[in-house]
Amino acid sequence: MGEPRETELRRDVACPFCGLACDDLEIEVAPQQLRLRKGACPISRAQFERDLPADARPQIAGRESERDAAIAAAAGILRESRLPVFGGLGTDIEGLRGALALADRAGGVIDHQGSRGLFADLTALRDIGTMSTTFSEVRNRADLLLIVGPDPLPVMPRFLERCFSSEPTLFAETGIERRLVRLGPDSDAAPELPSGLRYCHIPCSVGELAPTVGRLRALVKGRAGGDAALSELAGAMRGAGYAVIAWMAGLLPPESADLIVLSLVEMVRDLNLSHRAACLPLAGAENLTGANQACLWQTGYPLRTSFASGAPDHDPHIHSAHRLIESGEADALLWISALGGAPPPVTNSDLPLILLAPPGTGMSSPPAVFLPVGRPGIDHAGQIFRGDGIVALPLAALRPSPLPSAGATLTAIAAAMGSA
Amino acid sequence: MTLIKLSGGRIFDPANNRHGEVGDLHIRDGRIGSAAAPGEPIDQSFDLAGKIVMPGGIDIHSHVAGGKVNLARALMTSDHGDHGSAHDAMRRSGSGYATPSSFLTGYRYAELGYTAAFEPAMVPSNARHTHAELVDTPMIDKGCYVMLGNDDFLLRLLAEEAEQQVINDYVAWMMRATRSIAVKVANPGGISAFKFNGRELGLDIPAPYYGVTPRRIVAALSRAVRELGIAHPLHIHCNQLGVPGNIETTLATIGAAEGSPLHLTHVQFHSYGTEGDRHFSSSAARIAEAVNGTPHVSLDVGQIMFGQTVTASGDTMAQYRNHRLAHPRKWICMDIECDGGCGLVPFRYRDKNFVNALQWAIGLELFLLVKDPWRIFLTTDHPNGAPFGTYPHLIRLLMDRSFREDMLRTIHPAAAAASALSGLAREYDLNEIAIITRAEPARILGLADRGHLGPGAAADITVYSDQADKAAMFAKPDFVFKDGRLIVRDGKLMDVVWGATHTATPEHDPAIEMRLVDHFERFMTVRLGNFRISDSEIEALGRGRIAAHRATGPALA
Repeated sequence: MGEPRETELRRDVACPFCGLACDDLEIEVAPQQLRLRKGACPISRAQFERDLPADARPQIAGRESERDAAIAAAAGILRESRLPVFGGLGTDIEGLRGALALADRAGGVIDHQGSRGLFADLTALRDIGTMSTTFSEVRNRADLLLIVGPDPLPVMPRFLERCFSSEPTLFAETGIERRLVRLGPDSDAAPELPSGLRYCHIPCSVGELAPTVGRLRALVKGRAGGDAALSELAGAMRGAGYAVIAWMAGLLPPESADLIVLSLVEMVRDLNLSHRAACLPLAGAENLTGANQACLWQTGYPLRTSFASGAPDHDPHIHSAHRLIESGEADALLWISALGGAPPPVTNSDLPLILLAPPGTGMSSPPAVFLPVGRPGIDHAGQIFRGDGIVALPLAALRPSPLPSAGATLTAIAAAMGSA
Repeated sequence: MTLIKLSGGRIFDPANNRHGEVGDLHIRDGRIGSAAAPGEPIDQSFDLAGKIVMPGGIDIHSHVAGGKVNLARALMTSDHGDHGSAHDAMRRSGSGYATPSSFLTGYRYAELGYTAAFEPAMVPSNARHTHAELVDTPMIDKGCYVMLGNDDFLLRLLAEEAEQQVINDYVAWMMRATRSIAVKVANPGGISAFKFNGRELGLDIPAPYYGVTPRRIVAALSRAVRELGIAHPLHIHCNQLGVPGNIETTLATIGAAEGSPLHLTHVQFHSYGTEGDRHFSSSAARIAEAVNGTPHVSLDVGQIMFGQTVTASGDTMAQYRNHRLAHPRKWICMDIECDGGCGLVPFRYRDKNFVNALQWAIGLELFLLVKDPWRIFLTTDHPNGAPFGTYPHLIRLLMDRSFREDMLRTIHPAAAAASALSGLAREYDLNEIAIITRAEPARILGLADRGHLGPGAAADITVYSDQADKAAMFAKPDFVFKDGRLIVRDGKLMDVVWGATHTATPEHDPAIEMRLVDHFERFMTVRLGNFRISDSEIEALGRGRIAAHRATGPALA
């Protein structure tokens, strides 16, 4: 695209900064700045309007260098490494393709910085399956939405506005009479609720979630007794036309997340014996969903897959990037934070870090190699997955940028590995 | 300009009436061209004396990409643990047999002599994902059939009794927006009905909320496809998949198209009667009789093969019904974006199970009873009936009666007794195999330069050594050429290439877009401009290419 001489208003811009991936943003693009005019939330405002240096030079050990030299240095680190970890993965589909190709070639392990919650969902899926739904279905069909666990709205601010509003739906000209129930700990802020919504909060500490969900499941199956609020909720779920249970597994307590998700999926399956109901696992910040999808189609496995022994090998515990870094098994770390929200972990200084991130990314100490990259959806076009796993969206280049994409940078590293 | 000469092979090119005659082929810059002029240098020669030469195989119905395939991969990690392969200088690593990863899908199709495969069940809202996977699927040409007929926009149009022209405009817009080559309908109305808690839907039952019958959906969509001039007829997965007695629905569906061409897909799953002690019987003969007498109807079989697989379907109503049969006992159903759904149910088809054994026999009966090879296609509904890796075995079952009889003696005896299979003497010959796996798939998709070896055709060519054991023969081609490049030798990959994505580009009144903008802004969570896929998304990375086909009329008159 050409240099914008003056302010230009871009409509229907997709936002890649949380799993909702709202695509109704209006953004005023001026030569030096972006201003959100419509569809803003605290996260998109912070990201789009963040004032980043437009350009930066690569660095080797904190010293500015030519790009070719930095690419060669990154290739050298990966060539020397016996077990490189490819982490962060906050990037678009092209960036993920680049990361997967490089990890395959270098015999590394691939994982996303936000995958802990994903594996609670995937463990249940692999054990028993699921019955799930997508945002537009919730928007048009759901008459009861139960959100389990800590409040997801701070990390998905427009969730209710987008998926559970009182606007007309496909099947109700005047909107559906809707009920929202939140089962979980108190939220820091009172939720901003769409008008006309019946809302109730059943307080439940994080530690009590697993047994409470278990009790709710028993009540949904028709067993009597217990807490009045839970009994009433179970009755409402059994009476709903299309009940949706949403949760964000990354916010659930790690020690019981698997159990909670499994119980919720079983609850939805019980409800479906006579009515319709569906799960809506919420996730997807930093294109987590896209990272998992691309890993699945390219390797046959979800994230936390290793190429160290040739054929892809998946293990959600052994091949956790976090674990490999902590244990010292990883001997190089390539970290991608092109979407700007996943700072690299603080690691011991022996672990060489190759960092692909936008200029201005905060670092505790200079990485072995820093390769500045553009942000997809701002500096270059791309594609991203929404958190419901079905819809992928195109990302626009909002302004001309000298910054290469993460994908092009990773491809250049792979080429440098081959030519040396 | 490069010139490659393939000399002395027996050429099976049914589209050009060549039935095994010995001849030479010349490849000029990736296409079939003229012989060398006097003195013209030949860059490369292959002596194919005694070899069998065919166009590259084309699979018209194979679930190779998209959300449901990825869900199947996530569900079936054991399929992947048992079938991994490492990267090498040429290949990417990957895993899986029933649902191979994208690179392996391309490599394995090529190693079987296939040069194209079509994803037949793309939910519109999942189109970007599906194409992104296909961009990562090397070796073969590909394309997608967009699934309509359970989308709320179309059902609203039908409920409002919109004019056919509006429906045509919508179908054309949708095909272009999702970069599709054909239109598929799965369980017309039934996937939508399931979202309203409907658990079954017959052809003449008004669907919940809309009051529209599946018959009306079939009529409107088949007519739209015909009037738009799309080559491939409406690709229909009928109502009541897998239900004993569904033969009546399948036969009535042919009538529902009101004379428009129709392609009945994975008909094996739709050919069941209710006779016998077990109230489950073969109705293959009735289907074959109907198809034999109806020139505007084609079918693919969806043969089952014994073993473990996973079924991946848009038909949530059927998949939910069948989840009790899941092996292993896990399954997925998903309602999708007011335009479709998907369901994943793992299956282990067992030869000693009466129903599975009879399903196997019903598929073979269909192959042997449908007379016109130009209207039947070899499919296993990969991976639903069986993974595509079983094709060589299936070809042997069709070509070798004594092999078939040996197999028949090993299945559940009551199923063998209930099937007409033992009385069917027909054996497919190489020419018929070339029709059902090459010539006819290209013709019915409107791919004028594929599926044949006439002048100007793309040089997608497979060369086999004739062997008595046809499974061994078709499992390991001597040579495979893709667009003139040698990609496989002795069944092993030699080179990695990237095929085209075939699309159809029917015309429509742009006014339909106003209605769609309104619909998307009021009800959906995606904007219309972002829903639509651009060519650059497929042609990115320099390894995708769109081959757009103008809509020039139905392939079946």
